[in-house]
Amino acid sequence: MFENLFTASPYVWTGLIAAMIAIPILIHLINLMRHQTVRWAAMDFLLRSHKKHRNWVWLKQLLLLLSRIAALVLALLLLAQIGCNDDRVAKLLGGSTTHHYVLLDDSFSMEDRDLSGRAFDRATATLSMIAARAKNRQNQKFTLLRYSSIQSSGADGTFSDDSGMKQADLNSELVDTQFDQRIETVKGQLTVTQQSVGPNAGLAMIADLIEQRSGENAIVYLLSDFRKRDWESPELVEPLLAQIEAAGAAVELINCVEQANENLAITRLVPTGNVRVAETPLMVEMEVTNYSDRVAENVQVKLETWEYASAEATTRPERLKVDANALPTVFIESIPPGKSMVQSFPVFFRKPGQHTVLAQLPDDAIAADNRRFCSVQIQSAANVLLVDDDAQFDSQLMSLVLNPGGMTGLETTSVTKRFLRDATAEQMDAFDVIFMLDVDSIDEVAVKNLESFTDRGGGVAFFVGPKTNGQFYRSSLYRNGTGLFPVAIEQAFEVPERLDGESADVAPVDHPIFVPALSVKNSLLELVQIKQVWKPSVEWLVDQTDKPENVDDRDDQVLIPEVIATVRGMDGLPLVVEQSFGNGRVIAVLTTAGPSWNNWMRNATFLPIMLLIQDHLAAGRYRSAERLVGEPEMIQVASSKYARQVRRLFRESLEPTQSSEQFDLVLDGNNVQLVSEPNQIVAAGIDEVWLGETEGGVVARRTAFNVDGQEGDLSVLENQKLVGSFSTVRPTLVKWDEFNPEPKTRPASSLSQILLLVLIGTLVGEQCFAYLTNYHRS
Amino acid sequence: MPDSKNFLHPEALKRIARLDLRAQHIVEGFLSGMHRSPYFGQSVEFLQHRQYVPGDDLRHVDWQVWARHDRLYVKQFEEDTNMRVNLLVDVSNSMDYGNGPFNKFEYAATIATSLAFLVLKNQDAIGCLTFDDQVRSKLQTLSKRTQLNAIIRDLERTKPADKTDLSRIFNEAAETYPRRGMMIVISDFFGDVESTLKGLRLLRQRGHDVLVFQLLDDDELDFPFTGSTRFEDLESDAKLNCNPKSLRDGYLEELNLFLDQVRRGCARAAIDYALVRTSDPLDAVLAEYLSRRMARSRIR
Repeated sequence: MFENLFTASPYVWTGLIAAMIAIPILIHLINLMRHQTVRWAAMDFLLRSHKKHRNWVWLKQLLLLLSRIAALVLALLLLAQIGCNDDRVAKLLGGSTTHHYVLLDDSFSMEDRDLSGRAFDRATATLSMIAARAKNRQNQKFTLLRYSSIQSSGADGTFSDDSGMKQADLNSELVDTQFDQRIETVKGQLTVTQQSVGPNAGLAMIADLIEQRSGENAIVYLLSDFRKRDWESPELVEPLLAQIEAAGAAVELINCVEQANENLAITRLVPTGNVRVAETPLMVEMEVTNYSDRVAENVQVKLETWEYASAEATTRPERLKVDANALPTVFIESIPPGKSMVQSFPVFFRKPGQHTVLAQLPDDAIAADNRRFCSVQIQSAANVLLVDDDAQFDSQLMSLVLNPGGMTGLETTSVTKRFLRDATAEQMDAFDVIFMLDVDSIDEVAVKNLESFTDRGGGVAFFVGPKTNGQFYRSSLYRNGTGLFPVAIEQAFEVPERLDGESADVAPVDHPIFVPALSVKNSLLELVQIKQVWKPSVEWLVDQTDKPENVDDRDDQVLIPEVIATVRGMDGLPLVVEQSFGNGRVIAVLTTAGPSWNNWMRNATFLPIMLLIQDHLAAGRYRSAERLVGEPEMIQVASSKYARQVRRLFRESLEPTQSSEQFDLVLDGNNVQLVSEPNQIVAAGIDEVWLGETEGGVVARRTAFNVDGQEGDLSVLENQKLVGSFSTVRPTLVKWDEFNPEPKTRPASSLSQILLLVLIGTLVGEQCFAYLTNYHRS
Repeated sequence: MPDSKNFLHPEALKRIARLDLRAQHIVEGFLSGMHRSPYFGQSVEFLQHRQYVPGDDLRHVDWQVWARHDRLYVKQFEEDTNMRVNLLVDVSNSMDYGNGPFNKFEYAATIATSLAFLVLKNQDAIGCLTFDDQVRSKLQTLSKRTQLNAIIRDLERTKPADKTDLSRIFNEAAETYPRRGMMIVISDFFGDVESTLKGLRLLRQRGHDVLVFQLLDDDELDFPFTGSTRFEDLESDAKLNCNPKSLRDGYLEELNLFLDQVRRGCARAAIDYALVRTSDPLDAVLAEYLSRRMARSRIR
């Protein structure tokens, strides 16, 4: 009822305050003028009393007058809803805007569909109601942010200005008569993304904005599905909500889902083998997770490979021929609720190139996590470099072992140690793994080349034997634990002959390369006889015993070797030691590959274990390049080799929905790079970048983008539990169908509550003064 | 014919008629059967015979009448008839205040008339003097029936005016009524307390038996005023705008101090004092006062 009065001009306000001050004074004066006249006889006594109490009477009357003025002014401020959403005083002072911040969850769990529709549709419907609420009031602003659109401007996640608001769908827009149309237009552009983004970044940004815009009243609406994984532990969310409330804003959480629906998701799809060669089977591992309360039975996963023709075949990526090959469907008998099942299956590509594996589940509540892509780089062959000082028996043996009958896809090249000194990085990178077969020593350049190769992801296997220069290995390759070689070998050591009843000479630990020996009883590995090994120094052995449990406690420069096989009965004398070096791996076998110091080559386990060593060491070359939807992607290539113009294409299905686009690479030193912005990739699929080589060729680089499998977990938190999980804040939590579009009056702010208490105190004081001043009639 | 009904409340007179007015002190003259004269054997002028009753002084028996009629009669004389009662009534402006049926002056006049009626009915002599800052009227002390009408006429003719100056008035009253008797002063005594008490002591020194009726209105004793009020002094130009409740305590404190001074001053001078409210029933006031007088007579 005071709307018109309080939205008037400052002149009206001035008049109101003046009136509040003048009214008690005028009433007081009028009362004095409206006195009754008494002709009085005992005047002397009255005059004496008056003279005696004059000052005290004046003081009480003055205090009474001031308390009445104060009470009226306080009442005026309370009627003006000071400190509340519709603070008319703040309006008068120019900062009276009420700002509605809507944070919309557009992660793909909002696609959750049931009989009444999608959660996201309910959220957008509620958005219209919020807009209607804003429109019903005056001087309102509206900001709409989606989870996926938040960009942190700093590493600490703070937002010093509005830079993070560039992606806002509505940024501080004034709510006017045309706002209905504006909001409907924006709603038409809103879609569920395939990203998995939590509320924290958005809330942090809004909290910072509210603090910066301290002159505004703010209401923060969070339209979300409030999944258990995001809200069960409020350690991150609660401080942000507390920051928002401390800034004077009201928070309304609006839950847009009714219940958790059943959902199956493919949460992992990765090749497990590291010999990725054409016409050679490659094992791919798939994980399917059951996000429901019931057992999922007879789950069928359709598999498909996309085999691309050579990029040389066309200049237009969209015209490239792609062969889709369906693989046998994978059946999973049952998946317990909340559990995951892993299945491996082979894939086969005929030609080298970067191909795709696609796995698909039948439709359910969430479609986005029913498909998963995997991009596999297939080579014509997996090259292995064999370094043998004499290029003699050991290398020939190893060549036969690694590629028996050309069936493994491996191609070996035998060289002498001079190759390591003279080879360029490019030449060395042609190989996945280097086998050093009883090489006595290498020069300093070769050491650096070998270390650089490993650092870039290559793998090195050392076999040592009678020719090995232990001093060199210790000083140049081991280098007190900072070098490539994982063991400080000191001297050759003859292993005593095994007696009857003694354990096997080779005692492996649980490690992937020993799977053939560990997976069976009475393994043939037990028959291997080790005659001689290189024994580590005592210091190394002591260091191994005393190595820190906590990785953080160690010196960053010192590498941590791991003994994966020991020699019989020698108190843990190592036989096989592994160590990571940069992006690559190193394995040192402290005996020969050939028959000089052992008879392993004659054992049936030798071939599979060597192949597994090669596979294990090649893993650094094939680190998982999986990207999540929305993540930025950077491709960096040498500027001398590639042209700066590239074409780009994105495939969600076999046929691209759009034509390729042309981009210019950005020059950065000796490299050119292509950086895709966050949120540039908005759906799961294959991102293709066609690089033009300066020599005229074309190379396609394909990256698989997938959804975050955990986002498919649709478990919801009950409203009571959600509110109860907060200890310091009490936001309003309503379901979407309980949202009240009428203008919400925020509970009285701390300021208005204080004013109310002061008003009550003033009125009590006024009554006391009135009593003291004897204005109360008896 | 003056309208005596205004001042002679019939019910009050009836109540007083049942009680005897007994003088506290023996003053000049005496009343047969009731009063003994201090001037024993000094008769002057024969007034009448009265049949002897046991207790009469045998010296006043007229033996000649006894010889002729064989009956005992006693002789009564003019001079030893009655008690001499003089009323001093304040008619100053301050007596013009009153918020009830009577203002203070009207109430004082009623009391005065009632006493006069009572005195005359006992065949005592009554005189009356009205005053403000000076004597406005005075009637000599007589026991004639017509004296009542004279008193009533004087009171009716008088309207409150001017200030009070009791010291000078009491001095003049002592001169006006030189023979000892009873002085009944009816006033609010608003004025200088010391001057007032000085005048009362003068009357007492002249041998008068002094009765004081201090007459105050309920408003003056209770000060019940509320709300913004302008007080205008009845006897001067003084004015005061105030909230009466805020001054009430101070006013009552000053008033009680004043009343206490008057009461103590009267007690010291052996003057009977009675504070009379204008709301008190008039007959009850007189009856209570006379009862107290009788009680004191018995004690003596």
